[in-house]
Amino acid sequence: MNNPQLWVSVVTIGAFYGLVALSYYLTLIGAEFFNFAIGPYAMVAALGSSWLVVMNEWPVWSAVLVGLASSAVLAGATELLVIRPVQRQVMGGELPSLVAVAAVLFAIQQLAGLLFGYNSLPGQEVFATQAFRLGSAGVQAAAVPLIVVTLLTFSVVAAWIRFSRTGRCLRAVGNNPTAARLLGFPVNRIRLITFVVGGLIAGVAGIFFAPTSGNGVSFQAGLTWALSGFLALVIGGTGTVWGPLIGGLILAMAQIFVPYYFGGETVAFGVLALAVIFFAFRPQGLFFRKVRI
Amino acid sequence: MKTAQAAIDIINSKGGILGRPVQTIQCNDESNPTRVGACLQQLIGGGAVFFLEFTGSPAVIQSKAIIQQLRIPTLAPNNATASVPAPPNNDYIYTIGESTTAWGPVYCNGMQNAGIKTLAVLLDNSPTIATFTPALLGAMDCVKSVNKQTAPVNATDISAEIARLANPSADAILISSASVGFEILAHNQIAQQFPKATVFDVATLCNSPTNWKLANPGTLVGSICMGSMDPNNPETQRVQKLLQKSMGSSFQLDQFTAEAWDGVNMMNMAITKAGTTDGPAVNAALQTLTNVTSAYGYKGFHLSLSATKHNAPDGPCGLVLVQYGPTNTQQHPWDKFKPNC
Repeated sequence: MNNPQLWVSVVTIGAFYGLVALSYYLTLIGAEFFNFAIGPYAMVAALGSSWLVVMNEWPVWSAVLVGLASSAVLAGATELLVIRPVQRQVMGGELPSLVAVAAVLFAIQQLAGLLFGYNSLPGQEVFATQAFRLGSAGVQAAAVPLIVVTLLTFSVVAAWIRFSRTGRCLRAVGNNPTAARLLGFPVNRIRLITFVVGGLIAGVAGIFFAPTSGNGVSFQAGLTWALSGFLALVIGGTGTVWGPLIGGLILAMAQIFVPYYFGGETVAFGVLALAVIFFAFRPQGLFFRKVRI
Repeated sequence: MKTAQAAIDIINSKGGILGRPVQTIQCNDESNPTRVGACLQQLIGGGAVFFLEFTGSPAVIQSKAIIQQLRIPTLAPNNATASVPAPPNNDYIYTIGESTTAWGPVYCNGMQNAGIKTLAVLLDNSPTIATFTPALLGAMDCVKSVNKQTAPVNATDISAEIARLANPSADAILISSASVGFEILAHNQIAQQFPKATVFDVATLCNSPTNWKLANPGTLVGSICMGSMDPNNPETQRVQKLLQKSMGSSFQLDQFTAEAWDGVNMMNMAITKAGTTDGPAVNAALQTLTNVTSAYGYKGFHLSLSATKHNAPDGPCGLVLVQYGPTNTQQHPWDKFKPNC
């Protein structure tokens, strides 16, 4: 574990997983719902902005703004047009809405393939930076903006939840929407805000992560990113807003060090083992809130 | 496909074939073997008399039995799989590109001259590469593969697998992948960890000029890849100039587009020679084409077909080990590679 290059990879990938997990975190605490379509939101933002730049020669910043807007709109539309109506129909039951959102996940993926093509497109660098060496490790140009944006996003969200009125309402609404409604909280508005903000954060994650990989981004990335972000949240827990980031870093460590010690063929087994350990022995994650009754 | 269409447009501008314009109808099987049959039937229904297959190897292999039944002459210009032009069901199908069985001796030619005796191999985990790589290494008896690492083809980070290439270390690293993205990722991350390594890759990124700029600046410098283009080949220069008139001045002929050009050219020659579009007659005419000057490979490289020779290259001079220059562009044939052309 004393190869600094591998730690650079851990921090880069962990930052991305942390951001996706943060999106999950927000919709979980604000709407008590696992929005599995978060992965495709990130994919649409990244792939859509790449498509605009590469195929239509848009300036990067304009394309990125459209990408972010798309992920936010998709997230809002998922809440308004899918989850809310389904939950209303089944009187708040969770399984039908989870199934519905899984369908949304696949629908968005296929639509992205149809709109943007079935080949990978290279990610777009939002901030032009240079690659540099940190001791014996190389840090690629796109890694630093991703890490900086991750820390900034987590800090802003932590401050928002703690100090803003809407942020403080989040947990109340998520914990008990009925009670919150009776107390006069704008439940529907809060839910919508958490979905839209979650979608925006997912878009940021996708856009800043895509250029770190030579493999580019394809329409199929949404499902992988959804599962990775979910696992990062499970590992980190929901006890603190920084939990998803810790979970993302731990997941990234597994993805980097398991193949390093045991071979490239074992990476899937390493991630599976981590998932089983947490689901079986620590489903609440590393950080959880203890509630005194 | 765009190059093939441009080549057909040039033929049509000169009166077409047998005095009739060539019309193209397309079907996209998405390189999916299960869709190939339906696609071919759709093309037949549209009146196709000749097939040009620009699709993945599994789909081409799946199509062989159908083509044999339909008796439609078929060229798969970009296919390098040895089993495609080989029996069974190969009476009507031909390939233009050098078969991968020719690659081993070509790599060996250069590696021996460069004093490379051991190789570390990084390959992706796709079924195609899992089959291709052992066959390639088996044909490279001049070097010993001392370290082999496999990484997921759609991985976003393979720094761990690359770090494992250090132990045991080797004289050179070979990247084996059918994915341009994987090759770019591998080059980027190998350059971070082993900036002085001698790196080879197979034909994937090598023949995708539009993707070279996606690699981090300077990471491809000095790398050697299995290309097919010698800029000094007069036929390459001629065809590139011709195609630039319709495809724009920035168009650069590469292996795939040169093979597409050669495919259309051979189709034209065969139908013209047969004097008819009847499948068996055109097929017989295809099998008489010899010493056709190719748009790829070294000067003097030719293509020939016969009843027993369904892979067109006349020898390995269609393969060029090319070295990248300072700006991630291909500079020249590798000076250690000395083919007898």
